Amino acid sequence: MDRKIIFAGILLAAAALSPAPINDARVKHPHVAPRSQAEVEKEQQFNGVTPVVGQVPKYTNEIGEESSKLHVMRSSEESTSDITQGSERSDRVAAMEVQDASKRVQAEASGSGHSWLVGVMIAIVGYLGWKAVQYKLEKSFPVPEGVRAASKH
Amino acid sequence: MNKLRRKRGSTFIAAAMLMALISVAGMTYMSSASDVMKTSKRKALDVQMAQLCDAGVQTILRTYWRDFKNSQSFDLLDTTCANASLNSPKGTATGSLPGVGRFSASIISCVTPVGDSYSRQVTIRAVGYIDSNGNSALDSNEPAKIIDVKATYQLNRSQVFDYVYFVNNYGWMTGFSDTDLTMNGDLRSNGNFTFSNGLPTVNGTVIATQNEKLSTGVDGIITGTPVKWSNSTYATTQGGSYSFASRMRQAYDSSIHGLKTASTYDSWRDILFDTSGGVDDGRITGATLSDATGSEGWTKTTSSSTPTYNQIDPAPTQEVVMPDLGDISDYQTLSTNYVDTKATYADGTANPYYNQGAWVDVWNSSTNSYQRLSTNGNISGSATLVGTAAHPIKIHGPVTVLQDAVIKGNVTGQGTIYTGRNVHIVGSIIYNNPPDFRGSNATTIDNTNEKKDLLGLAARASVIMGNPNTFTSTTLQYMTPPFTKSRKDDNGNTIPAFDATVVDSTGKMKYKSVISDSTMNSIAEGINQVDAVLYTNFVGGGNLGTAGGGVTFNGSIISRDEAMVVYSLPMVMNYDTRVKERSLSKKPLVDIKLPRSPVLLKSTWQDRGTSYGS
Repeated sequence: MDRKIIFAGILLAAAALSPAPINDARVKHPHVAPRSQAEVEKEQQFNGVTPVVGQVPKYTNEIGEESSKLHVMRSSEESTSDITQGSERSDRVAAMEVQDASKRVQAEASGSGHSWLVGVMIAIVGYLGWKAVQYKLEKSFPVPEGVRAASKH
Repeated sequence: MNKLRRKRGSTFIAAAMLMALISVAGMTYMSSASDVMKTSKRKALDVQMAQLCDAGVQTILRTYWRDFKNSQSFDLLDTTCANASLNSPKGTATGSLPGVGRFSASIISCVTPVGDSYSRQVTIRAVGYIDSNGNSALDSNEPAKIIDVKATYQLNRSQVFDYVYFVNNYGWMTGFSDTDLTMNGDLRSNGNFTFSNGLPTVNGTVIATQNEKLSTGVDGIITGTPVKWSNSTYATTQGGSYSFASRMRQAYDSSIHGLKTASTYDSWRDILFDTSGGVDDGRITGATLSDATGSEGWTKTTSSSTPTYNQIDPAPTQEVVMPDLGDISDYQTLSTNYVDTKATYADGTANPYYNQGAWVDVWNSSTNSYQRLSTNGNISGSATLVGTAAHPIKIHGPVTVLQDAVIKGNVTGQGTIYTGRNVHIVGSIIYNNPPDFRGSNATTIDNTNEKKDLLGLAARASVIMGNPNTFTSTTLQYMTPPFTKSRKDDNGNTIPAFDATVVDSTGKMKYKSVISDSTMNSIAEGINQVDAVLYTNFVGGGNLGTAGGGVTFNGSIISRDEAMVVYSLPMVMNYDTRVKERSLSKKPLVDIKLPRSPVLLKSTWQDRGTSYGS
């Protein structure tokens, strides 16, 4: 008897000196004894499905509130950005711009192909023109046969 | 006279030639200079318009990311961007960078990859242009640039399952000495992490994260330095008669696991405890204290010793996004469509459950037979599941319960129970065939553990432990404000703190079950062991160890608010490494279809051309 009293006193003193008893066994609690396997086997009579109680929401949001919509977007009026999104007009304009710009860039890219063609044409015309001038010069200032023959050696 | 004329003439010709040469040189220079100016102007325009395009791309990506991150579903993307094409762009955005120009951006393609319902591949086309006449519209003579960006919105395996203890709002351990509580695994919080009124043993990493969305604890600081064993102490303990030594991950030992530069180490690195925090192969390894001030290794082997620290990385930690089970229909669909596609295990033996769907069976002592509670992987209503060693709960794949699942006892199989409301753990949960992480051959260990039991419990509401009918203010104080924290979502909406005492649409308070009080009282008993990976959208908590004998967790607990009250000691938590993603395979050893987290991956950036206008 004495020993138990002394032991209890030590426990009480230790508890008083110890840190705040939040997460340990010194907190007063309902003690539930573990079941034997036989007892648990009897509890298997509870196994099964219980019908739905109350309403079942399709969604719960982050605070567990039930709703048909998952999240509420912040209203655009609160936004400080000048970005426009979601209005019919802006959608239409943006879509047109994306399409128009795509077409323009594509057209300009194919346009650079015509430039090459023009370049080739100029080269051909230039070459023919030079040949024509050469022909004209030879006609106007014929080189004497002797000089021509000598220049070949 | 003629001589003079000839002289004048030749001088004139020379002067004319000189003038011509100067003119040609001048024109060449002018042409070159104007070319340089034109090129410079175009380069400047190019850079400006690229920035404008990027602004457009980011606007679209961010808009859908915010919704995706919050809702964790593809509903908005699928609805908005169905049949998007270049001829029919969807989900458009316009805007401007003041003083630079304007942009327009649209989604021109949104595709679900074949066989991957968890991904959406999106192509965004952005036009950046210089609005020279200020009419807020792209005119034909204005410079414009086009850029395409491909990105993937994905629901990936969540990083939260890499931890033995993950809490979004506030990580806390109070009143535990180093022998009262031992955590064999990594700990993480998306806010502060506090050890107070005693320092437990943590054989792993502790992470806190700066989080401005929280009302308190935004600094992301770890308070208190826990005790941590050396690798040799850990190995000696695991090799002795320590309870559940088989469920502890191993401590790093170079004689078994190889040098950190060796290839052998690669097969071990993800599943080891290493007391020495450091950097290996460009990433932080070993146990560290990581928070908003950076990462550091630490040494503190006894409660009385003064800790020493070594700085590893000054970079602050980042938030890890938690999965969200807000829409239970996603998980009902998952359960309905689930088919086990693993024909053989890694060791070549046949998987007996190959090609089977999801199901859960329980023993009915009234009929002396097993009964299947699920239909096509789903249970309409609530389920009571009690297992014994002789007649365990049998589970396969992801099973979804519309309301509560009340569970205790022995379990066998591999699967996850999703609930539309609470999971109530009313007694120990014990694997009939538990894994064993000891051994010297990583492949042998994996091949054995791949077939062992593994249970996930994922609640759209809360995971409540113990008999809620006996909860007092001691426990409920941690499930109600001010202990639970309010926060903001990514759209700036304030999310009030969770309050377990609020009555929901079932007519029950949130911490109580819809299963009758009498049934709960009949089957609830003390919890000494939880073999499961617990995930909850809200609170994970309740009374543990009320029957004496301490508590051992072999798995994880992941929650937004944690409220466990432990009534007998010691408490031990052992991480189950089978759910951790391996670096080499990018997959966990066993995939039990745990909740996923949203990620955004940008894959390609393509310049589609520039028009400089006229």
